[in-house]
Amino acid sequence: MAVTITAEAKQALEAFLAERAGAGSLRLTEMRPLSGGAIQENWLLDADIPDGPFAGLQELVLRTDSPSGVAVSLTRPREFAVLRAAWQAEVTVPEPLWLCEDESVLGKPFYIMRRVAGTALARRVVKDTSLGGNRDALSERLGRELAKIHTIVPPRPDLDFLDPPPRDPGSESVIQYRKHLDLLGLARPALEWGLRWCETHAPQPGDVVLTHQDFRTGNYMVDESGLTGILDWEFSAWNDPMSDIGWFCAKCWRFGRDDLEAGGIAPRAAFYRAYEQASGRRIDPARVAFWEVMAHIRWAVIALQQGRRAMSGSESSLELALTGRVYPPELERDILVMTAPEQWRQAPGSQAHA
Amino acid sequence: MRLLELARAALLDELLPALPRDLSYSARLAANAMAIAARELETGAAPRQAERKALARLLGEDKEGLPGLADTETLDEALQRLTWRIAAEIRAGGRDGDPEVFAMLRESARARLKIANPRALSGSGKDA
Repeated sequence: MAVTITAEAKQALEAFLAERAGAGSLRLTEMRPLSGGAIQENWLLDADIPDGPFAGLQELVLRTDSPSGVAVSLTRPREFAVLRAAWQAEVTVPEPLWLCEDESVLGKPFYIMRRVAGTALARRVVKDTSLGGNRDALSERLGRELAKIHTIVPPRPDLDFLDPPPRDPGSESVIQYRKHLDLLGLARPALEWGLRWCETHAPQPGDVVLTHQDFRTGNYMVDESGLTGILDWEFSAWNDPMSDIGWFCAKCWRFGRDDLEAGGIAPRAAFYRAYEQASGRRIDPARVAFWEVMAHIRWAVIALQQGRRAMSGSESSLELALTGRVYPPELERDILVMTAPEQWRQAPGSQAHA
Repeated sequence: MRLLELARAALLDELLPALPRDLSYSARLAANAMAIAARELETGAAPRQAERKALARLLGEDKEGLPGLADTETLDEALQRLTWRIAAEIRAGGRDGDPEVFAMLRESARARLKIANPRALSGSGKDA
């Protein structure tokens, strides 16, 4: 990962920021890469701005592509548009400020957002119960935030780059992940088993809303006072709102606290209650169960894709190679637990819904 | 295998403490990769042989001779071919909820987990 920046690039960046901030000049007093993000590169910026509407010391983050971008994720300009839509819907996100598509500045598109305080490190968030206020408050807050994200519904001209809303999100996901496996050229019978279970237990099509698609512990920032920002919008898509609930609660995102089924931080009840109250939408456990199986399949496919990229020599990354090796067997084991023979309905493919 | 274990011990016990903090993550990753490779060597072909047998039985290829192993196939080739066959049958809906297929898949996941991430075996999913 490139972690240096030339003096010329820094100058070009200062000029761009000054112009957007409506300032006569601007000085970056601090600029360093932030850790985290296998896919994106985030830089911490401190900008000293002498005049204009942003006068003062501004704490910012610059977000751009890292060399190992995932094909399915949104480009920076599109992610910026989603972030702006979320900001307008009053979701707690870092305020999106400026987008730069002019590649003469940094050689690739990037955008600037305000920096929010706290940490997103999943293991710390799960362990340190002083973070996020208290656990009940945090899980309720996350439920309400998710409900706000789900108020963004199609059609939206500002989000017209997103794939069209799926007519049957559950069944279409099955098709999509089979296609990913076929592209990888891998025979994974346990994933096929899970996908076939999903195919025969897909929920009836219902609401389709803007879903975050990576709403989980590790992707939101908290400090002692509470939630400070929901991050990582690059996978956002129109989908069944329950897909976000299933992802958040999936066993693979509890970071060692399997007993706390809502993201490793709380029991489901508080999270569900807050979401239902804020959204006016009832959470159907069978529907969430479907999306939890799908969450494990999705994460397994992503891990296999990362492993493939590392092993095929296109990128030399031990971390990616290990991801492709370490996670899939555990995910497959968990998929099998959820789709044991007694979990199959008597008549597969029937339209009866629990 | 012994070489790998020694290399891993040197990495963790001697090199890691001397490394700057921002490199310790990479060192730990390398140590984990070595541990996986060592477990893989130690385990040998037995689980793959067992899996091949189980697949051959499920797919009706255990009637004569070596189960599921045609003359010209290596163990890995046979395993690959049988794995593709069962994957295709599952996808096509021919094995819905089949307890025997399920038992084979569970054992296969467990065997790979034992090599790739044995700590996960003792976790809450131990029933699988």
